[in-house]
Amino acid sequence: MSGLEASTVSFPGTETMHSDAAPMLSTGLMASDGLMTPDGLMTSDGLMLFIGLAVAAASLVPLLAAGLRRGLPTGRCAPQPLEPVCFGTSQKVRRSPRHAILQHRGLIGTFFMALVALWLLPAVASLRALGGAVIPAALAFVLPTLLVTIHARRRSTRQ
Amino acid sequence: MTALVLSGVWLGIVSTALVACAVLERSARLVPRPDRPELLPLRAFWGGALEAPPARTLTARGLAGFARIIRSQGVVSDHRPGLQLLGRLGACVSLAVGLAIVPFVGTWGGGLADAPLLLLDLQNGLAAIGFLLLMTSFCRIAVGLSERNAWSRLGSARQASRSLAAIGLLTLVLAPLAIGSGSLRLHEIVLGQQLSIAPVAWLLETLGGEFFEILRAWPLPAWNLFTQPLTAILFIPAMGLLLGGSQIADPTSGATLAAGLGIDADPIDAYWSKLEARLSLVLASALFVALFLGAGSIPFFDPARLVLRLSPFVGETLPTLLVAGLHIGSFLAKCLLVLAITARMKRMAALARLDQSIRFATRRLIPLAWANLLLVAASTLWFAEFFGSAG
Repeated sequence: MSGLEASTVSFPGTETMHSDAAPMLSTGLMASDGLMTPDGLMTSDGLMLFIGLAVAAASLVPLLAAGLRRGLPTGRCAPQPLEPVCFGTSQKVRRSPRHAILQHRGLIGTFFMALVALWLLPAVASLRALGGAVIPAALAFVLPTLLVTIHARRRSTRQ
Repeated sequence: MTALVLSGVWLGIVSTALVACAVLERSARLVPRPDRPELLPLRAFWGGALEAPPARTLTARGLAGFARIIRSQGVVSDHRPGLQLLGRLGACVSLAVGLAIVPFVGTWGGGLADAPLLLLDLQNGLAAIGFLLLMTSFCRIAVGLSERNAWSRLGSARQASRSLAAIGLLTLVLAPLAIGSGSLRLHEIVLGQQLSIAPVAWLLETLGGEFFEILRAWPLPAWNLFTQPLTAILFIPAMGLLLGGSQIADPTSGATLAAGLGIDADPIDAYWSKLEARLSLVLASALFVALFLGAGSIPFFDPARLVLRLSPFVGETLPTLLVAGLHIGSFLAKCLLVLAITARMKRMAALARLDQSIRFATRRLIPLAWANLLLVAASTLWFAEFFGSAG
């Protein structure tokens, strides 16, 4: 017993959505065996089994190829060293450009910080306090303000 | 048993869709259309020969690709194969998990109140789809960073900026669906599309005459394609920008070509790249069917009534299985239709460079998506206030 059987992949509120799952289970055709809970949710074992099946199905062709390659004579399946692709011969062209790495790091870092600061934290806090029903009302209040602001900014840029 | 059966059904549907993608790619490459010159196969820039390799049968192409994979591998000194494999596997797994959230099978019994048959039934499924697509983008960036040359890293930076624009657009496109259905759960979004609507019924009620009688007798299925057409139109470029292959301008020929990260040395990596591209296409089409075409539901057909009528004669299990099969077949047919239409649109539309696509998305599509969001939120409030429902 690994302890995973008891835990389910569920989000708050999901448990109450499946109280009508009795017809599916009463037929006896699809009895639960630890991969699904009686409420019809997949357990962690079921999720791991599904991901394992998907990875196995996708890896079938490379694994079969690797098995066949092992059956070949040794000389034919030896890996061949190749030169890396580079456009030009100078040292400056060959070495990795620092600015691309910095640009990438900056983009990813900015995205995560902006995501957390602007969206996730205020959204989670306010939704927990007010509930999901306030979303349309909040949009109806915020979007006209935003549209007017964007329009005003464009006007001022032209001047 | 349930999880294994559903996994088997999932594998069958996804495999069929992947084979359909390969068949459609072949048809786009080889089938001549003299009457429609815009649908002719792509030709090389110099010489006018077909751009694709000349193998005409799908089996021969598959065998040749498999033989290339068996052949000895090349080892490039500045590649990190571990990170590359991790990136490819991570992208494929996140796309597969995204496909597991999509409700392929419907409900057990066909009724609206029956139990859903889903591999992963998440309460915040729509948000989970967004995060899985973001993870796919990060895995693609990791594949670019696994090579030490300048061009791959520039490609990674481009992929990052493209993901930022596409995720922003996709969030704005998916938000009206959550507002319209009042839930982020995919099963509930699909359930909201099962009934039929009479468009502008309040106007037709006030008008008399034979013509309006006919219009009243022809309702539409309540698919989001009809209730939120602008959302459906904006969903296509958002998914194309997020999951499509990147295009670069070739300075020597002046043409626009497909650019892949890390597929120049290794046939196995080309296999993973192709699998990921096709899985992306299948996920995009399955999401379109589930979010806008009512998943596997057949318009104006109530499967629960079929189960009720047949159950006195053959029991409940057989009609229920028949209904589930009908749902799966309908979903697959819609998915293949979307794939075929997408393939045709790709052949007819002009290829845009990456910077052009990003500029178009940020300058044109994102404001349009904001306006659509405002429209849907306002109409939801309007209907809730004056008619007592969100429809």
